[in-house]
Amino acid sequence: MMTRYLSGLCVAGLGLCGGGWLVVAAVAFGGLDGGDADRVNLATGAGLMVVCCVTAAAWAAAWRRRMRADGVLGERFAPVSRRQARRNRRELKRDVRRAARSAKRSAREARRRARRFPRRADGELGGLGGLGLGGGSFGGGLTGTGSLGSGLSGGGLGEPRGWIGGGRTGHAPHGTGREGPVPAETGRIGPEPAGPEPTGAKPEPGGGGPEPGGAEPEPGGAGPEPSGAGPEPSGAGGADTVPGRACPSAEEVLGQLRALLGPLLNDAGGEPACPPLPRRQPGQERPQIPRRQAGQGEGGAAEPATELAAEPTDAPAAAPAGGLLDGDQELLNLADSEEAWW
Amino acid sequence: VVVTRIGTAGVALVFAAGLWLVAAPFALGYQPAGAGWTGATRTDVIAGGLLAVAGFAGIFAVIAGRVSELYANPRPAASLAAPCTGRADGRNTGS
Repeated sequence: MMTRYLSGLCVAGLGLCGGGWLVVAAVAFGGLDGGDADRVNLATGAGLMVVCCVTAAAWAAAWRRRMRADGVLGERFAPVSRRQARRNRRELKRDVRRAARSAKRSAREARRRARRFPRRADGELGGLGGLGLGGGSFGGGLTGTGSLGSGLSGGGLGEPRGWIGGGRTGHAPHGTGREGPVPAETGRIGPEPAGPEPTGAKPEPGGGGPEPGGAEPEPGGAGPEPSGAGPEPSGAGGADTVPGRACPSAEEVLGQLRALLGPLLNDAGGEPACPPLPRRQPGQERPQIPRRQAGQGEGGAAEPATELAAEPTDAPAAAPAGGLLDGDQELLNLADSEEAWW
Repeated sequence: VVVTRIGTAGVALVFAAGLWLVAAPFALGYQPAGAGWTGATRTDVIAGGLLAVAGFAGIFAVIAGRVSELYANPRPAASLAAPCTGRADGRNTGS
């Protein structure tokens, strides 16, 4: 790769030496024989030296350029005067200061926005919280409770930041420590007291609007709404609690839970929460678990399901598809949706 | 590219200067025919011969280096053919 540069430089060096010898032979040693020979040697030697100097410079420049293109030599920096260097330094400082200021401002705005709308993003999906508890109105009711929202609102799929099923205690997602009156008109069908929440002591600074969590009418919400229906134990949502930092004790949470779930339990009566499982008789073979083979369509998967449903006599009604209950498909869709992953 | 061409031209000039130095005594007539070589003739022929050999080797090395680079990094045929399209067409039409 560098053969030609090296050979070019070597030839240039040799030519320089030859030209120098010719000049020296013609001048320093008193001339060879005078006449034409001296003049020829002198002229040829001088011209050869000039040509060889140019050739050497050209090959050196070409080689340097090549090495710079290959990354062997670094980029050349133009020399900068002191004044220019000082100016550059000032501009750099100014840019850094400006960037820091804008970053601070954006952080402050984000903090302010988060303070102003603490649960806005959650509330947009808060109506879906009811799906987690199957009844529809149950999750919604807990969403709007105000003093018990912590840890219960996360039970549904309404948490947009990936809190699927993970209730957070003490984080006040839907009302713990929220001191504003929660409007009773939250899109639920059940009878609700229209008064303000008993836990609210003073109006919330930025949350004067209705709770977005219950904005959608929920389909199964025919039962009595636990939010505000019963006496709410005070403590978790008191005026002294700091939003987002309240951490009610377990006793308080359990008391509130009891107060909220009591009416529901009374309404439900003795109805079992889960349908009875089919019991295997002695001597009866274990039913096969339907497995979908690769490349098998939905029709192929539906067959074993119907077989399974037909086998036991005391089995519950056949599931629509894959053993899913009503509404579960919607739940799965929501779980797969983008909002659920956020 | 320009500096490489200048360098190549310089090497060729060295070769030409060597040839000139070898031929100068006989061409200019300060070496009489049939007589023994004078000191000036001997100096010119030796120096010119060395310079000619060096220049020839230099030219050969430069060309060989360039060809080996082309073999190492062959350009696509399209880039080689693109600038020569007009000439090739003219040559084809001319023939």
